[in-house]
Amino acid sequence: MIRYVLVMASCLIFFLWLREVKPTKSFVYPEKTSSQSEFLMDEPIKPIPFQLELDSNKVSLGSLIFHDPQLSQDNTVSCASCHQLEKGGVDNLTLPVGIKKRRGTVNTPTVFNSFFNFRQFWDGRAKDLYEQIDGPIHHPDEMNSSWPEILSKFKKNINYKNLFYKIYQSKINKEDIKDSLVHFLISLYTPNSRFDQYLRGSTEALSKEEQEGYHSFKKYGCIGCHQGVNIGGNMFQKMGRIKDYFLTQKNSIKTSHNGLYNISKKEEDRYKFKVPSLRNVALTAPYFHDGSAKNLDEAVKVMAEHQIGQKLKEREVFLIVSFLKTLTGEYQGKLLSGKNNAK
Amino acid sequence: MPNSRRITMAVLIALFLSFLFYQTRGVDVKLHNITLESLRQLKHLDTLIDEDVLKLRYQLLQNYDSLVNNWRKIHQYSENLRFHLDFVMQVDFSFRYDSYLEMIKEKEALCESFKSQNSFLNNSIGYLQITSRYFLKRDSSSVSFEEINELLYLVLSYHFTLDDDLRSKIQQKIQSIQKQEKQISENALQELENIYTHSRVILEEEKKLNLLLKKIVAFPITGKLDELLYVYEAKHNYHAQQVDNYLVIFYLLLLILIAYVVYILIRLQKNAIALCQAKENLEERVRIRTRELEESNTDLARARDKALMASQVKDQFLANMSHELRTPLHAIIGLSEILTEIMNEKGYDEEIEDVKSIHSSGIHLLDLINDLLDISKIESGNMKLSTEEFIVEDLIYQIVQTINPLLKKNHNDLHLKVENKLGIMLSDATRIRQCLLNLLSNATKFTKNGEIHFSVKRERNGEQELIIFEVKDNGIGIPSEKVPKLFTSFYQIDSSHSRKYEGTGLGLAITQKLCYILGGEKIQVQSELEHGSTFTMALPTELKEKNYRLQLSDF
Repeated sequence: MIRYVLVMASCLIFFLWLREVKPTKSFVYPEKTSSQSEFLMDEPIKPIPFQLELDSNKVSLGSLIFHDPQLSQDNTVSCASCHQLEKGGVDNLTLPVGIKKRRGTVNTPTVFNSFFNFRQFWDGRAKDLYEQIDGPIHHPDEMNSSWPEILSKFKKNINYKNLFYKIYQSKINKEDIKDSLVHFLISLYTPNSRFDQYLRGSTEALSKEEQEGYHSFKKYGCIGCHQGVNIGGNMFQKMGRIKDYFLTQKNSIKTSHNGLYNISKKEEDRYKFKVPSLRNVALTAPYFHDGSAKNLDEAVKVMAEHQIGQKLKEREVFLIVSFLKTLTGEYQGKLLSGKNNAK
Repeated sequence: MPNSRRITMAVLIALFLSFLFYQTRGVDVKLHNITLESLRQLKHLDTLIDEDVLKLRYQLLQNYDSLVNNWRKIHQYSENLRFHLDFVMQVDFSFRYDSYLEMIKEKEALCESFKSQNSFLNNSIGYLQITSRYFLKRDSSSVSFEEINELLYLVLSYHFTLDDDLRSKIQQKIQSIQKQEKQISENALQELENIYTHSRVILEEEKKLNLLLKKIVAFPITGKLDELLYVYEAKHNYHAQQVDNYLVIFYLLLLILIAYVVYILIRLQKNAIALCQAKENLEERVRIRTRELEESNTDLARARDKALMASQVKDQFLANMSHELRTPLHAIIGLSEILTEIMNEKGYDEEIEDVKSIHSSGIHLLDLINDLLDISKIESGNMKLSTEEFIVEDLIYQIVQTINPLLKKNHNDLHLKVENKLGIMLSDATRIRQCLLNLLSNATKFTKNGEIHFSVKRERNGEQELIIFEVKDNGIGIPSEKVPKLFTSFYQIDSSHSRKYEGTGLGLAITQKLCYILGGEKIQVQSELEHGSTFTMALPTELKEKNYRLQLSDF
């Protein structure tokens, strides 16, 4: 009789367990809205919120992993090798250097404020930060690694084991590594730039020249693409819309120059790139996907010529550049700085 | 039912119940609500996207953040939908969902194109005026102010009206300005080129952008979502119905099972009570039986005592009687003998026969009494054997001498056949003699003028050494059906014989019983009516105490 009952009970428990719908992990991004009552100037550009709600434990674990060269095949390259936080989240090189001194194909985009980008990578092939992580890890010229390789390295590390158990209540796994990295990447936002202060109503935050520069920025149509919270990063645009950019390029056309075309395979998408964010732009030289513009003056001139068809006067370039320099924000309460911080 | 089969049954029932239970896992209300909410939100977001695109087209929105955010939300809800719909993700729903994703992707691509082109067009519209002003400031001599103004006016009119007639006018105007441009400086020419370019951009992009806008707004996402919702609800309802059905079966089965369990419990309870009662009954019965047994034991003891006493009394009586009876009988026999002699001398020939009759009757009576005493001794187990060693041959000759008178009386011849090596026996010689005399006297009694064969031989049967005595006559014989009754007490073959052949009827019975006591087997009889009979008796050469005892139980 007891056996009878036991067998039935165990079967019932088994099927109860089957009935249970097991939730799978999915990343929930924080809302980007800043407090509603805030006064904002009616401009196409919006300021970065002062605070994003994030789990600080996950952020610090993500930071640890971000700086860990074990992510690369030969333990020489970490995320921070190219995305150096003290250099505005870039390496200030034309093209990045991966493992065994291999050169990458496109200029390093900054990790700062990358969360506000609508897609990731120059050609926007990753729909979000979570998906983006797989890119550099597997790229043969960058880290040339794989998840099984990384997991086997991480699992030998007691510190990681403890941290993962403490934070995720689980063994080390790919999903949680990515999750913590995403947390850290989101935490890399730079609010309270002088221009954001201006947008929040303190007009005295910008000098007359800088304000004039912003007007030029709008007048010459830069604002058409570089708008929104991230001053760009929310659309694709063709490089050389008015004047063919690649015609003037001396070097032959590389695959990386095709941009969105590589993903969509539509002819109209050839040479289309994600419009890069101009936040902290003063720190992230050289510019463009191929890193061809060495400084801001050159970049502004090339943009005006190819996108608008206008050769800008020196005065205009100076004004716009002085406006661009007001876009440098604060990370963890400190103004970002870099070697190329042109005075 | 064997235990193993019972367990298999239980497992099967449990499995079936579990299967039913699994089938009734129902529709999670929370999931259902999330699904409906997701579908509703997706529809809402789709209209928001259309709204954003329209606002952007008419410059009511200054940046693309809202559009981008709405797209992000759509992706999130779609992802949610895939996750939550997992359990209804059957083929017909799945492919609809996939086609929905395909449409989303297409619409997003259209939106991306729209963003690029919209920015580009707005740039051109804004920049056309700036470049025109630059040009006019620089050089108003060669190309007339009016001409440029006219072009600007036409292009802007086109921008607002999208009138196709204006297109040809703008083309004409550009051509007419181009004719005048030969005299102007290079810088001015560059600006003029810019004016043309942006005018052409406006001409081309306005229509394209509107087409794109129409395409985006008319994109049948809402219809697809409605279809998804419809299919989902149908699935959901079907599933709910299914669950209801299974639930009914499940509860029915459960009810039956519970009833069965209750039934079993009740039966167990009943059995337990019955068992208790049975136990009590049993104890009661044991008590009664024990008492009865005790009673009967005392009865038996009393009876045994009585019987023992009776037996003693009987023995005493027999002993007394034999003494008391024999004394007068001996007197009668002795006196009648004397009387016969006296009468013989005095010549009372007529009366002498009567006295002889008294004498023979007396002897017969004495025999009878002796036989009775013997048989009563044997039956009561009081027969005592006196075993001794003796030579068999001597015994045989003594017997033959004893039987001789009887043989002569009936004119029979005795043929004795004795084996050489008969040797010695350890047994009761007196009793063996009694047996053999009995057999021989029977033989001679029922044979007139015949032959009697008496043979003795020694044989080995297994471990036992046997002496086999055989008495064969050619007298009247015995009918075969009466042979089995031969050895019962007071039995003669024909009751009429008792007259013809005198005898007590106890002879053979005593012989048989003595034979058993002496360790022999049943006496073998072969007989043929009118041709005589053969009696064979086998006795062991050594009488053992054990044998003797064993034989006693046969009585």
